[in-house]
Amino acid sequence: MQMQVKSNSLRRFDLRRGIFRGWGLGAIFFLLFLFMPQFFASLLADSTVSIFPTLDGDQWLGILTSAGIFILMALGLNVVVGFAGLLDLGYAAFFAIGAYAYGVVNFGDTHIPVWPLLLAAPVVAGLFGVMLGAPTLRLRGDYLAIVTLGFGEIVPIVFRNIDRTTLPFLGSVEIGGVNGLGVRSPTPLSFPFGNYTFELATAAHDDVTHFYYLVFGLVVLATIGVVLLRTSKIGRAWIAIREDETAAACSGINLVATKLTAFAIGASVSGFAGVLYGAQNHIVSPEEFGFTVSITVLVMIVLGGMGSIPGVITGALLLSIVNRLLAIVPTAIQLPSSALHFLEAKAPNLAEQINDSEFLIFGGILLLMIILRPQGLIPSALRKRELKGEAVAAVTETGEELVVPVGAPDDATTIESFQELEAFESEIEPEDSASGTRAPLPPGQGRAGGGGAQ
Amino acid sequence: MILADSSTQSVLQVIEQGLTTGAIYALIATGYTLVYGIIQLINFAHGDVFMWGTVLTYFMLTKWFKLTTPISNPFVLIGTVLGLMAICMITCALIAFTVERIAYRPLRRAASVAPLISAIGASFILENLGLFAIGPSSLNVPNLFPNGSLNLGVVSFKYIDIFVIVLAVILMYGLSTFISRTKMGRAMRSVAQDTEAASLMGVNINQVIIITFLLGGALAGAASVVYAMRLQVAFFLTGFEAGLKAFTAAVLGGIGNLYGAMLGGLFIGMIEAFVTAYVHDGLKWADATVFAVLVLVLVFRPSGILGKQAIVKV
Repeated sequence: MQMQVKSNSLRRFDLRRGIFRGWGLGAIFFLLFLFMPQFFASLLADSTVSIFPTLDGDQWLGILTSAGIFILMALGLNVVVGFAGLLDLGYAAFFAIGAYAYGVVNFGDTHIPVWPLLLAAPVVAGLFGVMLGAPTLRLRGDYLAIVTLGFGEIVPIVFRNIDRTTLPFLGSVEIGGVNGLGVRSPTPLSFPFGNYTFELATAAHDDVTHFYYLVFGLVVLATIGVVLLRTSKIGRAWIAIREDETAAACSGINLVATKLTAFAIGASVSGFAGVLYGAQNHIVSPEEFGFTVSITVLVMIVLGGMGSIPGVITGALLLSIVNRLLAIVPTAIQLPSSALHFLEAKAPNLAEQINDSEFLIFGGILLLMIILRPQGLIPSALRKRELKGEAVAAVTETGEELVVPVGAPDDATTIESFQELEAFESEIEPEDSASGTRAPLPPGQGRAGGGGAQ
Repeated sequence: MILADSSTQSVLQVIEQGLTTGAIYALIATGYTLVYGIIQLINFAHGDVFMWGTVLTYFMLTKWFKLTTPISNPFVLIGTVLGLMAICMITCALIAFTVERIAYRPLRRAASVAPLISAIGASFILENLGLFAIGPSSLNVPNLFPNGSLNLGVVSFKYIDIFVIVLAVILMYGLSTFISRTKMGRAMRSVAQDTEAASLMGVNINQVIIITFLLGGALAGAASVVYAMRLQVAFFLTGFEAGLKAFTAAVLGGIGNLYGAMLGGLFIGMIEAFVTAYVHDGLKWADATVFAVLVLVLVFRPSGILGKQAIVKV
């Protein structure tokens, strides 16, 4: 009684069309953020306008820049979790590796050109990804999550416990131990081009705008890259693996190589984001790369919609801004003094508590989203169909699992017993399941006509 | 985390340390392994249920009952500790039950990573409620046990360590008897083997799952009281650290296997004690070593020491 009933809604959906989805939204985002510095500059000039009085335009740009860094991370993690369906809970480890790669060459008297590092750090992080991934990717999904979690815990501990070490090519370098590394800004990289000079900027105070544009450009590039990847051969292989590993392997997909590619790409993007993070914050310390960072990025993609590129970008933008605002809200909101006095009397630690509530909120978002809206705020079209058609699984009398993906939302029923299964099978209408109309067929016909995959 | 000053310790003394820590880990690990055995879910929030036990112990000792000095009368002492433990066991069992109800039950049939993500969400909520309750720094929990020890010549057992070991043995014996002898225990084993078949035989799956979570929570609650008193700290991140180590123990022993969890707990306790005592700067590396063991076990023998190789049916 081996059979598969394929819903035509899944067949009808052509992945390649997805490449044109969301261009409008993308263009709006692009223009909006392209002119963000000008917006803040004008805001600053007009002193009567003030949203958060304690934040000036540079600080806003700083927040947006770090949001951009998180968008990069989220795009990378989305490849691993959203496309390939591998839960990576140690994502911050690669972020740390990237940041430290930047840190060790920008500390003290070492004079190594740092711009090549933007290329080297992702390679290093990607190598670590392969080293971790190669032996572990054959594990079950939740075991993989725990291995990556373990790795994510080990990396910061190693950085915390080591003060100096000797590395190939670099010799003896400072790691900084508990205190971390104070890092210099990279020197601007300039390309002469005719009469102009293009400067790739640094995160020094007067250069916030340049750094913003650097990160902005990288986010645009990464977005285009991820969109192209998703519809490429390997992207479709990832999605196939996410849906059904066994079926994917039977269709000739090399499981380990495909998963490993996803893992390595995710790790490199994270390492890349780490370099930018180190350059922006001028400090690289072991405390900043713990489990909470991995979870923050996970919350971003779960909120936006796993596998959905616009969703992931929106989620990352939203949460990283909320994240930063939570840290400054208590001082930034100007309340009437009477209200302030009232608050101080009632809740003396309010500022701290708002600050502390960040991860409580994140935990709540994770829980609520995964239970109430698992497809995320802006779901990918394919994912939406799957999630609605899921849970139609039952066991036949020979013990084989029968999975019946059904596109129509009202078909998301759960079969509890064999009798119901029989009844359900007779209800499956081969071609019209998407439209929701059902014409009862005698048992047997539903099987024969249901997608033809016998 | 454990005792410092290794120079004067003999090997036997280190083993005593490892045995005691391991007994506590074994108690927590049992919770992971029971739940995994029944519904194949890594109950990520289990460590934070345990953390709430230590927080409750802190509040009971310092705020509610104001027991801050050691009790010298052994009967009064054991009675008091058992009383505290009963409160913690009930509370932790109820927290575990609530988590199951809110975070896991709606996703019982959901695919792939969804339940694990929901578990992480639940863990974060519990952890940060702990942060609200006791603040970001670790607080000092009084130890009710006198600071003396039972000297056997080559090795000496602290009073609290004796209590921990005896407690763990009794609870584990009770649990394995419950699972192997009672009707509910048989129902649990049948659900672990084949959920559908068990339900067709009339086993109430929901009831079994609830009992499993209650049992796991209660064991974590028992462990939390002695853990808090022994290390004398209550800290909101305890759940994550101790939980991850206990999970390592469960995986090392073979997740889903009760005796595996006990064995794994002792193993992890020993590793931690030996690294702390014999490696230079061992205290700083103990956690990393345990996590490295976790990674290595999962890579080379994911089924653990006592676990069976899972056969995936298509």
